[in-house]
Amino acid sequence: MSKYLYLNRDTFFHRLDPRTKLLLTLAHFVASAALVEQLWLGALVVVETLVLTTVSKSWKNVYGIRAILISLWIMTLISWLLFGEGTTPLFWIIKKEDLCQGVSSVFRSMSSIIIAIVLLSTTRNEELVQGCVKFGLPYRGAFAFSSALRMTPHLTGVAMTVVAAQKSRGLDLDSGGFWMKLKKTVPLVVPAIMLGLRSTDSVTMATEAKGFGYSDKRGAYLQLKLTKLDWIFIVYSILLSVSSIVIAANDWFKVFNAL
Amino acid sequence: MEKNQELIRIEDLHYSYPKSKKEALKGIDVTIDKGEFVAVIGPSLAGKSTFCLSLNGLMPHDTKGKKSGKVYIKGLDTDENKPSKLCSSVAMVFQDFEAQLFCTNAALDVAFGPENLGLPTEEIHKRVKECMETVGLAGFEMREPSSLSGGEKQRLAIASSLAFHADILVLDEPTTDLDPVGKAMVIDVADKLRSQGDFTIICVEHEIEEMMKANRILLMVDGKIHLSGTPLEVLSQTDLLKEKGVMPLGTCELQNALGLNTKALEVDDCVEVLRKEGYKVDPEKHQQVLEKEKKRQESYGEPVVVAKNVCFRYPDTKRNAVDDVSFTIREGEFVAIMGQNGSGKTTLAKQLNGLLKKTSGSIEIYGQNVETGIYNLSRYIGYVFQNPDHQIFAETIWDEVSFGPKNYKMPEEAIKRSVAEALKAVDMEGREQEDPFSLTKGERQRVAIASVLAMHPKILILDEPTTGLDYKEQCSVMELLKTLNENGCTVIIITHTMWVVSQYAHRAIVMNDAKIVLEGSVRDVYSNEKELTQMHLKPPQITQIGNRMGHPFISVQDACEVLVKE
Repeated sequence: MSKYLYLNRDTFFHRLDPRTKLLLTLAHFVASAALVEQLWLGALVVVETLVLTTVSKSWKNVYGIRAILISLWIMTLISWLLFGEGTTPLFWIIKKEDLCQGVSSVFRSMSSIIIAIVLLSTTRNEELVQGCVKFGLPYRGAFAFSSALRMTPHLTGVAMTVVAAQKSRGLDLDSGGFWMKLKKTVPLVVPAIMLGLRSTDSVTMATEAKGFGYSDKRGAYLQLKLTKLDWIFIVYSILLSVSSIVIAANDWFKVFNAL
Repeated sequence: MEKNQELIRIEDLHYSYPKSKKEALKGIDVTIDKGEFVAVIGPSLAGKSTFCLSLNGLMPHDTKGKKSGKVYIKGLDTDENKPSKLCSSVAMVFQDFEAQLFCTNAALDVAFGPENLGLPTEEIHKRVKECMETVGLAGFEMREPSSLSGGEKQRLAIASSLAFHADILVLDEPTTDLDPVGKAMVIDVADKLRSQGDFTIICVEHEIEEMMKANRILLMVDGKIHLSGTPLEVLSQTDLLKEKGVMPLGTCELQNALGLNTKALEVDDCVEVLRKEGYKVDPEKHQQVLEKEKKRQESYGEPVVVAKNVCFRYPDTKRNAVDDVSFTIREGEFVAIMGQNGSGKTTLAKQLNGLLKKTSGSIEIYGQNVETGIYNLSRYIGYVFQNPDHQIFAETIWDEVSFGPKNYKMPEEAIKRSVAEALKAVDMEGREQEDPFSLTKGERQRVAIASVLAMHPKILILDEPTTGLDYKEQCSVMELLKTLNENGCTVIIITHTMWVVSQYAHRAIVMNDAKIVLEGSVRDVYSNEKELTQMHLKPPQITQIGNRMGHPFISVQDACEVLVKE
């Protein structure tokens, strides 16, 4: 089983320069943060989910975290409906403004998470690092980011083995109240942390033994090159960012005028 | 550079780790020339890994302990040169695959070093191609490292080290987690590099069978080089090796036991020596041994594990990890489930205590369906994981061992009694208040076994119980299991350590490609040497000698029982 989200597929989206994909991701983040109207956010989500995940063949990863995504969206919506400060009654205790805000937040998180998954499903860690370096980020920082991406699934695997080992000794994680369950995590947390620290130590030694930090000038196995298709996506990213900001500014202007 | 040119000089090297009162290295003096293949052997805590770390400067630059003495690599003082600077002279391969392969495909892992050196892209591509070919991984460039077998991963790690074009290659226990053929493949790569004349190889190993290819062996004991010499000079000293906690070669041990002057290290040479000396297998004695084994088989109790047509498939995979497996284990048996890395043996064992839920088929433990769940099954089955550190969490040994009984809410008195009995069984009485994290790996393995024994399981499953332990520790753990088995506990071990199976198990189940392919008494299974080798399992030297003489020996003692002089 792969430790990475990266899916080795031969699609034009995989072949895009990592800088293009980083810009596209950034554009979607900007758009989802700036846009207030649910219609625009909804359209953005539809574009991402239906078009980007399909052309990049990333459905597998999006589907893989469906349970987390659905619970996150339900929680977000419920939080807005229960704790929002809307004034226009819609039905029962639901207020129109809260429902709108809740739907907006769901679309916003949907948009950000899915575009991030598309990015990681179609771009190797090393390409991401190189893309970040080309954008001027220091190599050490970019490598630390890629190491975090790599270590997360590794540490999850370690934690799962620890859970299995303690369950074999009769640890029943399902019964008991909140505090009892919290207490039961001690036999899981201690070995997981110890093993995590040991892994980190080994990785540090291995990277140093492999010449990490040998010189400031670093060579590159992968060569990045922007193609015509990259430029199309870059223009799309810029247009998306600018138009989102313009639409958002217009919306805010209307709100300001109304006040 | 000419051959016989000195590449490494170590002068009176002492080292102690931070917060440790004991020195890990106590005055190492050694020189190593260009083109040498030096094997470093010795028990745990002998200082072998610290010795390796001193060669590329990770010690003292990363370990921050107290060092005195000098290490010169091609004349460069390691005190004044950091590991990242020394990597173009000394390349190092660690035991842990996961730590050293951190890229998303094999080619990128090999390229990581040359990229750090700041080489041009064309040169990096050239080195990647050349190194992948050298280790026999050409065509694997786009494969994700985690999809490779253990042996392939370790060869990839070697390729990524070779890409530095360093003169010295240091291998720190590179084969510990590998199956026998995987071990041989890694050592063959090292030997091939040495024979090309450009490399100096330094290889630390617990298992010495593959180290016969070295041209010098250093025996390290308690931070010092105790003995240095050719393989014959060092490995023929069977009693000394045993005393110092190093497993002797089967060939040497047999010649020694028969009172012969040890001359042969290889199996074929040993057989020739035995034949010349007039040794042959006595058919009558041979028959007696087989009768004894038959009687033991008849003494087993009722079936306690019954698996029928078991299949298991991990989510999002296209093939079964366990495929249509059926077997029965009777009360009092000592069974070894064997197979190469990735053959499905651990997956199968984890279904026996409900850690994994089978996809189809049925498994019954003492007549109870495994579907009853892990909590209920853990009363019958104790499962000891490969790495004791996956379970140790408590501040004292007593707390650690009492964890299981407390989970079952046993009365206080019963818990005390169970813990005392379990600690007695693993020979750790009187150490209840010690911190388990301060113990050696062998001792931590004992604590892990005790913590399972305290729940009084009727069946004990151990996943690779000897991995990472030295010979003395391995013998100690296996003798403990033997005693538990003699006292009525059914023992199942998952392993690819072949000598452990031959000396301790009664029956072997061999898995290959998710299926059971061989099953029977260890002696019968081990007589299929060719098939085992095809499945990456090579019988120990002593069994190979027996197979050539018409009777597969399972231990030196067994060989001595049936060999007679004409």
